[in-house]
Amino acid sequence: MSALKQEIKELLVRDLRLQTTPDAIGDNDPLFGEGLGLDSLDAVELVVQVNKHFGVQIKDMTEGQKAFTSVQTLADYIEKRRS
Amino acid sequence: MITPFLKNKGEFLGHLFFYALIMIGGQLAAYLFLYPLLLAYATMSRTPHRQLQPYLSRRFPHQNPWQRWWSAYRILLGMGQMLIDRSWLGLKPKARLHGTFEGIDKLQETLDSGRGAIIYLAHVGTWQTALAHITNMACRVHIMMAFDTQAVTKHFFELGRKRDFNIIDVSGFMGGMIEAINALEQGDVVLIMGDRASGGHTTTTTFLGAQIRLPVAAFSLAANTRVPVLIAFSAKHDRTHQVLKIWDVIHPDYTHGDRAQEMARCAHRFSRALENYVKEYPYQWYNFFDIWEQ
Repeated sequence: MSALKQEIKELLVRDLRLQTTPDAIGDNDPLFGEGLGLDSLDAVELVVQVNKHFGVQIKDMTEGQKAFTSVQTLADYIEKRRS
Repeated sequence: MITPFLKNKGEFLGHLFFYALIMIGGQLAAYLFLYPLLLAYATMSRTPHRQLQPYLSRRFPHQNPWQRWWSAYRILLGMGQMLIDRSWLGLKPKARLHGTFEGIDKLQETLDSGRGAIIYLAHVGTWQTALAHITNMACRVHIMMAFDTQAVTKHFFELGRKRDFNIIDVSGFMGGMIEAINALEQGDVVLIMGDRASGGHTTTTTFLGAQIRLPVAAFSLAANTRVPVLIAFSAKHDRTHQVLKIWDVIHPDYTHGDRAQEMARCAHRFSRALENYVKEYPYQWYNFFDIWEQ
């Protein structure tokens, strides 16, 4: 799980061009608003990148809202969907 | 003072009257009644003139007040006729608006390659009735809109026709973007209105010589799912003939560049297409508010 969280953090920094480092992102930092400050355009990129890198498709906004709370919830979601 | 209750009741009775007129006399009878009705409305009410002033003053900067009044009346007529057409198509099973879809090959080409496409529309021309050209195609069609029951019931397809497309509700988390991504990745067509900024990201460009803010979510969707944005506007040519035309095709891509710049470039292309449209069809502009203020 920690390897997956690290992968997510690297993806966030690399593909969403965040001005931070993977190590500076906490597992429970909120992705949107305060926290990492992602916005709706970043969210679009994130949905596509999660599908591309982890083969996991987020199907609707209810799922998306839960999964995109933090790196931890996203990792949980990916893990669950993979299994 | 007219209370909201009386206003709603009046609106309801007005709709009912026109539905009855369409059922009895068809589209033409409703059109004939519309001319004096809107003439009276345009004469007695300043509201439509005030609402259209921002557009008319930029589209026709040299018109005198009388010419501008006449232009507003023509736009009102066009809008009224579009609403009648919508009801006529919904109420009369045999009603047909003949039409052509210019540039359908561009859409077909994309769909044949297995990719989805975004069709980017504006509140101009016969945009509602022209949707039939798209929903009749052999592909799944989704429309991004606020899922408001009242708004939906007002659409012509709810008046008797089955709805042959899916509505993606934009009022939820991420404005329906997740559903739109999934649809595009499945090779479906997603319709988005591009001329109104109602929350979400926007960029600034110019339209008819003044700055305007336009939404950019569709361009982000397209860039991430690698689908084209087909800018499509429809226009009514005569009583029973309409044309839906692809005015431009954009391929948003910010893989190697700045996202904000690319969004601005795409919005600029959309704005140019819309300008070209209103040059050709100046009286089919149905944004009854100051879009330069949005």
